[in-house]
Amino acid sequence: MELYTDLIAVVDLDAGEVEEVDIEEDFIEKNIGGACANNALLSQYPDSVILGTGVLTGTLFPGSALGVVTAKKNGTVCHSAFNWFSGPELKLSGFSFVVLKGKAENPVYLWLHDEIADIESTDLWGKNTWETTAYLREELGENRIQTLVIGEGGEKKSGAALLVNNYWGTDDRNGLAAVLGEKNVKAVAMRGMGEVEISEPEEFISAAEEVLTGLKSKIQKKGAPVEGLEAITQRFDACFNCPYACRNFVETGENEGVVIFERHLKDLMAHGLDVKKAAETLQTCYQLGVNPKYGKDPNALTTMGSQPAQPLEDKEGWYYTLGVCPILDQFGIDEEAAVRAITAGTGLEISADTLDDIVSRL
Amino acid sequence: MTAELPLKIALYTGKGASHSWIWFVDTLSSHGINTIEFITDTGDIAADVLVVSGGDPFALFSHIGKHGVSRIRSFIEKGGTYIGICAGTYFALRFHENPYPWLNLVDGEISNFAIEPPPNIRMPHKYLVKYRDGFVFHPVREAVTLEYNGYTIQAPLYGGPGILSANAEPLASYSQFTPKTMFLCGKEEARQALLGKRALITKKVSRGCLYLFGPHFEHPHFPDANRELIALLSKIPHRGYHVEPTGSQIKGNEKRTWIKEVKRWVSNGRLAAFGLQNYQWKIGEKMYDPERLAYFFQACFKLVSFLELQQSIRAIPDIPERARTLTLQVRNLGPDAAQAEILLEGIKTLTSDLYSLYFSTLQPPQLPRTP
Repeated sequence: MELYTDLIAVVDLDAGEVEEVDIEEDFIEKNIGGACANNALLSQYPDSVILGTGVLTGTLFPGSALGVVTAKKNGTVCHSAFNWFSGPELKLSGFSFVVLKGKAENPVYLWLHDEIADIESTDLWGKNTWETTAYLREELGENRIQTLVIGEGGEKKSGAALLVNNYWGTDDRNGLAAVLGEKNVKAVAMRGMGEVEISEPEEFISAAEEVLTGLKSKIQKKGAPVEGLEAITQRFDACFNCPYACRNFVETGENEGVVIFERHLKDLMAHGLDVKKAAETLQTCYQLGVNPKYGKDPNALTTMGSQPAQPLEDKEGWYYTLGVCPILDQFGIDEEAAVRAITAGTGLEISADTLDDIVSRL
Repeated sequence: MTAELPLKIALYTGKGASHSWIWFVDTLSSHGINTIEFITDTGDIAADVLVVSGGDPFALFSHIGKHGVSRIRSFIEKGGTYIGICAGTYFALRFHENPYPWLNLVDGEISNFAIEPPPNIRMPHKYLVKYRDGFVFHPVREAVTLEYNGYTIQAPLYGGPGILSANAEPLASYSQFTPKTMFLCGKEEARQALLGKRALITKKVSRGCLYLFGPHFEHPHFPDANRELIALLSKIPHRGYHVEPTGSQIKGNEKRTWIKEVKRWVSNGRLAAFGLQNYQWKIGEKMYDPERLAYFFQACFKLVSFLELQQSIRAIPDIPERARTLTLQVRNLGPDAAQAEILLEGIKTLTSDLYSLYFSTLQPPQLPRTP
């Protein structure tokens, strides 16, 4: 299927087995990808955690770094996003979607590479997210491996658990790290050198370029500087193929620092911390895998009770289906060009109305 | 001569051979020549052609020794064809008055030997190799233009010689540099060292023959040079050697399980090789970098991906375990050249075994040997 790598990994954690299922064109035509496709897979495999990529994830389309994790929590279907390089890496590992069903008897991590999904038992339980990522990269021999990791928050099934991407917090607003913790899954490591095919490459690139030109004309500032952190901001980074370097790396001590996710920083400041203290605390939150939305004491957040589900807001469902970062919405993505990119990329006749209709089911 | 049997090529992949033999195999295979046997010693060469490609002639000699050299001489004298490319050419060319005891079957002089070579301007680790009282130096790398059969073609040079004179027939000479030529010394010194000098020579010895290439005609990015190489091979007489299939036939679940395990470990090894830090290892007289190791794993992955798609394949039972061992070696590899050499030889053997299985899977059974 164009714009996707070929497989869905259905990981049976009870049995320790993986089934590889081909992605059918009909599945994409009905669900497009990302959150919508995850929803469909969750219906097929209830009580599972689904990792999925959007139809544009990992392509030349600007901002196409997004992957989506979906699970049911307290009876509600919840979606959380991960980006950086993990979305593209998941797709290029050969698995555009991963279904995690059942529960491993003992802690495991999942290693996705070149259409191989390995379930590896591990003694990483109890390690923080930074130690876990460093260990996996060392163990598997490749520093470009992307990880989705749970920390103490996820292990203790805290309502404030936060999924961490390598070393930094994701937009896991629903504590889905705790669902991974329930399944005894400490981490998902991903690396792949796969390729996605494009049905009509010239038309696809033309549409992607059009969107990129539009975004660049509106992105005025360099990075996303945070007032009060200018002096300790070391650099601005962008996720995969994104024209907006919104990720600022802030030094929090000698040889230490944190990549700021603005919403998390503001949450800590709303709890009364000054901006520098908030940045330092954010680092600890990410190490422990907890979401500062629910408090300013990271250790206390590891044992928090259940929190209400946070539904997708505004246009987020549309972005989560395409696999494009919703932070770019502030610059106004050309939606008509995006639909043209999907049509040219997949070779499917998908109109804006069809897309909206599918997204509305979320 | 046995017309029914195709040309059989013995390709040396043992110690001293670098990765360029993969180019040779891929180019020949893309032209339908799949009768290649991989050899790691030269004790008994049962083939029409022996190919010694790029690498390190010092390491090659330290491995095959005087006995191996004598066996190659005997192979040629009995009608075999020797193809030397780059290191394989130095190995066969007597270019010093006091040569090392290599093959030395063609007397000549090379233009890139000097007591005091021109000053190096880039890639010092690729520039000089000590030889007796002087140095073999490599004035340029990458694509150069050659005059061949009255017209021009391009081929890349990665350390091969410019031949000033030899008691052999010249077939090609260096005529120009190209925009892609990379200069390791000054342009004028490079011009003096290479242009107008011979790039390919041939010589009959007893009943056999040698073809000695400076540039890599077999490099897959140079189709014109590839065609000339294939044309040259087509003129070599077939002497009726049978190519035995490698491994045993497997299919169904047995095949799926075997290929999955091989793919798992080749994939792991490939990713770890691409992730190696920027080490360099001196093995013999040649510098190796992680890219070379990754190149072998990449070739293995490509072959495994092909075999995965076939219903029925040839297989060697211990390949999954060997691939696993190599992956663990890559993951633990540091700056130690001895460890790198063990890994290099292991991955070369795995690669050549997978190529043999690929060829054996592709080929229909051959006609029995003609008495």
